[in-house]
Amino acid sequence: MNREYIKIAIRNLKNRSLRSSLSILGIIIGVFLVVSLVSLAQGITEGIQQQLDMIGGDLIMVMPGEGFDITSIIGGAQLKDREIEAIARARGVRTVLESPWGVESVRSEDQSKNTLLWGIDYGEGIPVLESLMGLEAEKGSLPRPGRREVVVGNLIPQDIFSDLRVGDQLTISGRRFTVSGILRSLGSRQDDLSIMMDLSDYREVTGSREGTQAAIVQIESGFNVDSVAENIRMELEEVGRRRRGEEEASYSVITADAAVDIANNIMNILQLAVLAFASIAVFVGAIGIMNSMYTAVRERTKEIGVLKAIGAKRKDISTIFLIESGIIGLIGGIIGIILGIAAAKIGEYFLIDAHPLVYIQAHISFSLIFFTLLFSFLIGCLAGFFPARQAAKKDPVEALMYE
Amino acid sequence: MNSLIKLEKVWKIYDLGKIKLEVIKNVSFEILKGDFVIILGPSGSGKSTLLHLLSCLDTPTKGKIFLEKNDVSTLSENELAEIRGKKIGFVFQQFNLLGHLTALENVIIPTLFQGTPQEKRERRAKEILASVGLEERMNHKPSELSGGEKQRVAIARALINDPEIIVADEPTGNVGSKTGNHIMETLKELNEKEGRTIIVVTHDRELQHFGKKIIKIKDGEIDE
Ligand SMILES: Nc1ncnc2c1ncn2[C@@H]1O[C@H](COP(=O)(O)OP(=O)(O)OP(=O)(O)O)[C@@H](O)[C@H]1O
Ligand SMILES: [Mg+2]
Repeated sequence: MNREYIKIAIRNLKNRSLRSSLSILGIIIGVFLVVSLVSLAQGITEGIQQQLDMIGGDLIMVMPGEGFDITSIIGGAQLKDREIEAIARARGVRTVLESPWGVESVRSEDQSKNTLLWGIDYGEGIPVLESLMGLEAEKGSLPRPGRREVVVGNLIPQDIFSDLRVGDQLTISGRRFTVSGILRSLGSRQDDLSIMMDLSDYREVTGSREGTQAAIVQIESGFNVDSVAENIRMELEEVGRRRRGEEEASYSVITADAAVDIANNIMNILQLAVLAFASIAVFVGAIGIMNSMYTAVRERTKEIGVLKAIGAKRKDISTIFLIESGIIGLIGGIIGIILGIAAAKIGEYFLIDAHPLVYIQAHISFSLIFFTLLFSFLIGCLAGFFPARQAAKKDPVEALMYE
Repeated sequence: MNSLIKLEKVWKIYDLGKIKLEVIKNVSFEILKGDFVIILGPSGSGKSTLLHLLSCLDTPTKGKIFLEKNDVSTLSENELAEIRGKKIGFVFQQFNLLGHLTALENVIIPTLFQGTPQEKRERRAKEILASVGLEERMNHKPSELSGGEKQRVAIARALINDPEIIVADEPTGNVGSKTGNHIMETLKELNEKEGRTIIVVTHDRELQHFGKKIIKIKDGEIDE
């Protein structure tokens, strides 16, 4: 393709900036939607994925809410004691670990920060987490029960309490705890930014007698993960039946394999929804570009005649107009991407505290931007196809005589 | 002598539904290599139509047109465009420069359709602009040029692909008589020094003396 054609197209565009800027709006909105929402959706899914990755092969995660969708995570529903008991009753279940979390103000020396607390029964839980999730102290040692010891995620000394060291004191709800160790990264940012404490201490400082957002189940050896999961489901249904009259509860019993599918499903559904909205916007945008290109072709009829007189073939004329409309699409895409990234960053800022389980960080991928740019250029070209063809087909003499 | 363009019983008829408008009626003549032809006639007589026919911009309704012995009356639009781009340079009454491009860029445009290499087309465009006395005006937009200067840019544009034939439709129509004479002098020079064939359409009898051959036209017919 000829560099001069691009130059001509850009000059032509400058000459009609106002109208083409209006026709660009639809593309901008479409690209904006795609970039901002897909970035956030991808970020949310990655957050969930990281969380789910923790569930090792022989672990089962139980959470309240149907289908493990975003709303039930953000909604903050909890499993109560009788539900924990029901899980424990299920055949093949060896240990049920309540794993509640919550944000509390934590003080270290003169600094006070809201920090994510994670409660786990040290006596039962630490051996399980050590063997199945690779829980390990990077510095110091894992905490012992009954000594008011806590361990902190490896990002806490970096991001929250700078220079926090093993042996330091933390004050939570007026009670003092000793940092017995700093954990090796657990792989998800929100885990690495949390403080792990004994379940009884957790209950004390948060004032919550019962309830957990998730329960981690270790299965009896010799049992199949999927059949134990099924047993748990049945026991929980039983609880649900006895509770008739109250609101109906639903549960997610997730094994490691299922978790991956679920995360992918969420991603797909979110992205489909986004794409549906965005394609409407892009379609409207394409019509806008097409319209403005038809106007441009009509207004430049005489110019087309002149170009044909001096040797332009149909292909040359249509190339000039196609490049022009492609550039309109591209510019719309660039603006849409800039606005979309800005919106994703703003969205991230508001969502970051939405729920401690899922640490949401907009994921702005290179491929998303690349394909969006390519796509908006192609949409521009596509929208310009018929106008360009009309321009190319004009009769040279008639076009030249056009006033 | 060498025949360059030959018209044989050429008709151009516009079908306007109820009536058929005969704009060119049974015209035959020959233009030789190196000719300087003036096509003279009153407004509406069919001069522009005739010029479009013999410059491969239009095809006749009836009759034949030969360019260097080749029948061009039945060629496709793209084939005609190919011939125009390589062999014919156009100069128009209203200059018809692209308003948002500079003089230099305007002159370069015809080379784009011929695939001339980048460095060559720029060098050549500058040479030609200099030869018509516009070396100081290369980066000016048409709106910053006088009528005479614009027409010289247009002549430079017509010359860039080194065409054998230059056709000009009322090239002096939008400039004063002094500038008009200057433009005609330029065309005459191209004819005499470079041997290019020049065809000028005008309604101005004063310009007759520039021509080696005068074709008078009236109501679409050759007026002897
Ligand atoms: N596309 C067309 N359809 C119908 N009639 C046309 C068309 N083009 C030209 N004509 C008619 O043909 C006749 C000759 O037109 P042409 O432009 O060749 O005249 P001209 O001699 O160049 O006139 P002028 O000096 O005003 O430019 C005019 O009557 C014009 O109205
Ligand atoms: Mg005319």
